[in-house]
Amino acid sequence: MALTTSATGEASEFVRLVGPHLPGAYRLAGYLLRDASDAEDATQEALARAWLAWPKLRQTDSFGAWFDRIVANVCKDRLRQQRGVRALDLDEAADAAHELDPFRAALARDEAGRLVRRLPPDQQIVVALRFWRDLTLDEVAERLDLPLGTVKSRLHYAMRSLRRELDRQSTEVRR
Amino acid sequence: MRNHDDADFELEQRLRRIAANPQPEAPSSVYRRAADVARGELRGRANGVALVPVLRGGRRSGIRQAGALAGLAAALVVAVAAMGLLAGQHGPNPGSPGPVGGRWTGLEWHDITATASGGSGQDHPWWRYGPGGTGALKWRGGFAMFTTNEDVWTSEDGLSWVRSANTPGVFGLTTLRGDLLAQAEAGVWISTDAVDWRRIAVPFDPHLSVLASSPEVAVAAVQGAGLQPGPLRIYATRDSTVWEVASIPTNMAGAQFQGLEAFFGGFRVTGLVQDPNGTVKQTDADGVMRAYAERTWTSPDGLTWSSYEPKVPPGRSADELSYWGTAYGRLGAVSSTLRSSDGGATWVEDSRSPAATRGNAVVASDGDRIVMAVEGGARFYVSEGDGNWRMLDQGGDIGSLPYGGRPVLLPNGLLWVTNDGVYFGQGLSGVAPRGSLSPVTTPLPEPTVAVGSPVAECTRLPMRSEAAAELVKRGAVIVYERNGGISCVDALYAIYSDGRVVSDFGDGHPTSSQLPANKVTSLLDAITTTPDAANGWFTDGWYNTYHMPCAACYTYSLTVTYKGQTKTVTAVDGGTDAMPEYWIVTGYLAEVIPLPAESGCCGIPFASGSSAPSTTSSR
Repeated sequence: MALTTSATGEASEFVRLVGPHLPGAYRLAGYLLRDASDAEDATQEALARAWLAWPKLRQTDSFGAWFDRIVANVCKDRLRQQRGVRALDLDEAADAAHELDPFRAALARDEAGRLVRRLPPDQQIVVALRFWRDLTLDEVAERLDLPLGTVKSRLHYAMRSLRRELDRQSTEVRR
Repeated sequence: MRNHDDADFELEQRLRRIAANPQPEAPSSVYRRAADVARGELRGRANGVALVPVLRGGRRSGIRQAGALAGLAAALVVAVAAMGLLAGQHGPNPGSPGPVGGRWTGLEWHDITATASGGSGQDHPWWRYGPGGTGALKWRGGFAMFTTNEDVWTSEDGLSWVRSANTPGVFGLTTLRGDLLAQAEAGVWISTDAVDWRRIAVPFDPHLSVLASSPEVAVAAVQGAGLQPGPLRIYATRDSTVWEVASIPTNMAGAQFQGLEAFFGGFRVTGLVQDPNGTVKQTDADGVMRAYAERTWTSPDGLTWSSYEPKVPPGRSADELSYWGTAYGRLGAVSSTLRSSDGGATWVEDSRSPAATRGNAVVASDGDRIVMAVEGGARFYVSEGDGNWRMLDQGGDIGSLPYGGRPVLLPNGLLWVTNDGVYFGQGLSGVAPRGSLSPVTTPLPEPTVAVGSPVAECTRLPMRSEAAAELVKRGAVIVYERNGGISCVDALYAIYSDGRVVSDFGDGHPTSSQLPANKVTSLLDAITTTPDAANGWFTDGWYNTYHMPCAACYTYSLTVTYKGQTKTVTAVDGGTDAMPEYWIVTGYLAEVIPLPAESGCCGIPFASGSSAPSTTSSR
């Protein structure tokens, strides 16, 4: 079975480009989906999507942003699939059971992390890219293909919701 | 008192610290996937199988080449040309998006990826949402749908699609009296033309709500406020201005909201309520595991709601209807193998459903007809909800239809959305489609290859429960099967008390590896005492769950024999039904089971400096 040189070269180039982005993509998925197994699946799905769309990517220097966008969209799909279920207390109880999961454990360490999952998926993604992927707002906007203003407003709403809830909890504790 | 800036800064620091340490490493499977995905494509082509995607500058159909070369301008030309081809031809007029008379007998496929890509070449993978998941909306401008990346696309004919330029980040879309009603960034918006959007006042947080509509009424289901859980509330409007609060039953208000959908001309809400006999078991915040049952409430107008208690055949559960029997319309809905012809009051077995014999069906319905795709798109069936199914003739000039798409139903045809492109199947009535269609592209000559096939290009194989039972009989103390996913993994592992691990990836060549015997004992101890000794594997707390797996999801079966007891528990990932502890246990196994022998092969290099893990048997 003979493979063409160009075919092999394309595959090699794809793997060469995607390799350095996999750890970050996996972690982005992990913090968004709060589960290492889901993150693994999501990253793999993103890889498959990326490979399929790869022939259409012209600017390989933006590969990282492009791949992050795919990961974010895969995660958004999955978050929205879960969105109908608002078993909030259940999730919190499950944190204890998932202490072996590195992502869930990390998020459970701070109430702010626990609360992020209650945000709408689009806000969760902005928070994850901004603080857990450590990107600038411009970079977040680039990855999500959204206007900068939209990213700012989503982050604003997210932070406001988180702050209010944390304040409310703090007030209750003081009572 | 701190001001908001200080508080935000502190909150930002808290959020950053969460992910600062530790930084979980990507598992080896992720790296292998990179090579697998690429290798699968190469292998498929080398075997003469026409796989997608093409390499850069590679083969495309004429339509797609034009789109790739000339971008959006060419795409528009293509769309116009395609419309010209169809004008005056047989079948329904694609320029008339209203309900099509006559019963479909065929589909004539057109590659519309060019328009679906909007010139960027990257949009169509996000055509994953129609309202209700599988259907496009009918509105005054034709058809509309929103997509994963929060765009709204509209079309007058199903062939040529336009992205709405001014949409404010849509994550929900419905219609009201012909207008588009969008849940979007910072509110609910309405538009008569998909160009100008006007924000409307609503008495609820659009982020926390789900919208649905019958033609004359829009309904919002809202649970909680801010980040706080709370009772379920339902609002309904006829004019988008006045939203009335619906009167709902007490148990509905206290339910855990699951979904809101249009249903037989009205609406349906599903939710979970506590029920000692319920099949959904959850550990609540107080640490107590309780049983919940799914309940459904229906309303003809969005304002008056009552419990929905349909009659289902013996041995079947009304819970099944939540997956399938949703908005399948006034004709009589179907589940995969249930159907109703009396408005959903009574459901009967639909033994003639293609899903009953062919399995793995994907279904779309818009209320006028139900279309079922089986075998990844090799065959399409249509029904008007009367229990009769007709296989549709297929034709077109696209060569072959990619495997594993998702159907989005329009009144005059069907969209087949795949990762590689979008195809429009013109619905035909009484005439044969032009052009011949090659068999759906299949992933690999050998369907039993465990990994390495390209996405959505393989056939999910059935679980090997008989083989698993035989392994137990032969003394395996742990038998673990992981099946499915985008590469149709078919992995069956047997672990013996002496440490022997036999891995069968469905290629006819099981391999054997060795663990320390005491590792097996500790593994058994760990599995059977998760989450704790009192609630371990052999207790009633461990139970089977199942939902229809998505394309990327896996089905699992794990049989454990220990201290004189044997028990099998099955689950499917990608949902919320499986008990969380199941994934802890599979995590234990992932640490010790070998990887497929061919993984990481084929000379696909990893990036210099990336941490490509070893593929040795013990991770």
